[in-house]
Amino acid sequence: MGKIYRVLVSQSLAETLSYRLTASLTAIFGVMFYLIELVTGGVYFSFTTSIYGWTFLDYLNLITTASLVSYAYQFLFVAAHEDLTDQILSGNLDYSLLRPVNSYWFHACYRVDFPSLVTLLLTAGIEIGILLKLQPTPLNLLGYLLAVIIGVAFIFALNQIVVTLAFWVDGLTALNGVPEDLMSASARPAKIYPRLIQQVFLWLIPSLAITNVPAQFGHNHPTWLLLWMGIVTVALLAVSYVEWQRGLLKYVSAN
Amino acid sequence: MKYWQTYQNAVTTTFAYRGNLVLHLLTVGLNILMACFMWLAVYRFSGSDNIAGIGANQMIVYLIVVNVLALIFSANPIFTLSSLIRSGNLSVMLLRPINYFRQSFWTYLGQATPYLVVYGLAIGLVSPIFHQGWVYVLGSLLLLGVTYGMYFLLISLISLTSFWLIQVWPLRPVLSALFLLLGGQAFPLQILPHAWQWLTLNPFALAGNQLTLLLLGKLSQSQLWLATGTAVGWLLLAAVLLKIVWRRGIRSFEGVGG
Repeated sequence: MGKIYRVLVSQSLAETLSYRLTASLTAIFGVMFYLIELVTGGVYFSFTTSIYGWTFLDYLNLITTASLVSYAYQFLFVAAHEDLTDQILSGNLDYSLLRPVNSYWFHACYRVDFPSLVTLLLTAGIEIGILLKLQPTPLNLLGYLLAVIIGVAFIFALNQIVVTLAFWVDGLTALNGVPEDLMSASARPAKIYPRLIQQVFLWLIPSLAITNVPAQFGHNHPTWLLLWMGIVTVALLAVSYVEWQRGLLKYVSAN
Repeated sequence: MKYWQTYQNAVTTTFAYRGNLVLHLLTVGLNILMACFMWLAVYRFSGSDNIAGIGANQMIVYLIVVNVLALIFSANPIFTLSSLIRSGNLSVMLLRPINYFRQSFWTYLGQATPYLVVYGLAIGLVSPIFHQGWVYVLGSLLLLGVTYGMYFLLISLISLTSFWLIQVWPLRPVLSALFLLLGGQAFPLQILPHAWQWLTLNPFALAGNQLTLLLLGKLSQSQLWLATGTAVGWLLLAAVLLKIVWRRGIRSFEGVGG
């Protein structure tokens, strides 16, 4: 599988180099989006120095971590997910189903989005600067990195579940944007929300935990929510895998 | 009128895919909740009931209205044209005895109709516009119409990048973010320092910030005419650029069939 992935990555790179203008603009758009988030945060904190104990630096840590998780997902999986719905609906999965590979992972890793790497590296650089200022202990730093990895897996699982629904549902295009909207609404301190909303999005669908927990670790405040995030993410990955297997039984080829 | 059918189809499609409509409303509700709770927290910790002359309750109403407007001013034409260009099927549209952009406008209007009805009802039932005389009412309708046309042309102009870009999906979050910041969806642009007030006349602000202030009755007569004049200026600029860029784009297009 490693060898196949290397080939897929090199194909993605070749495509990116072929479409240099698209790639450059994608990278610029990504940077712009992050800057806009930054300015919005600056406006909030121009009226107060602290919100529920969060300073501007903490807020910066939160939105940078949320962007880092989001761009890592985009770099690794978004291009594959963008194509998958169309391939399912147009009945074009045959070529991968005939191959002696795991079709779930083959389609999940079909392409990487190199332009997102630019914004990923930029946010990673800023986050390193923030962490140097916050000075987490090595153990908390490890917790932070683990939380980021779980975050990427969580967003991947949510999107995979939504995209695979194309085996059963046709035309519900707005559903594809739900994970993105959910994560952007979660890129705020959990405490701004009423207790009920906090509980739902920290425990049931832990999107708030995905963004808030890494920021806690960066601040040397470890939390057991990390473990819960991991459990829910593994459960969602399992659901997406079963959904894929069941979906293949519903698949109708165009060939 | 041949485009009337297009409009009817777009309205029917919007209601036929009720799941999409409900999900759009849910995600907008999510955005409104996020913005409202964030601002309520800012009010609470700033220790003031009033930020740049705007009270907390007014801020909530503002955020609800501006988010509904974000639904009316969608970016859908970009992705429709991109799909037609990528598949080569634009040639099928070009062979038809229709103007692509006129058809696209009626589709755009049809898709936005449910939200325009909500905005219209809010103006009719809640807004103090009708207490300010008929000149103001007519001016308001003119601003709404011109801004709608201007925004459609702007989005159509951006959609022409599809002739040169393979993937246009990164434009979606960027346009959302631009509407969020420049359109006043995240906060009223009036809270910015005086030196930045010219931002209220950018196309996104005219569609979001200014139309929200209009509904809330916070736009004076002179501001109304200034906004309308600026919207006309942006509309003309977008129309001219659209014509130029379309000619260049169509030369680089490779179609299929036909």
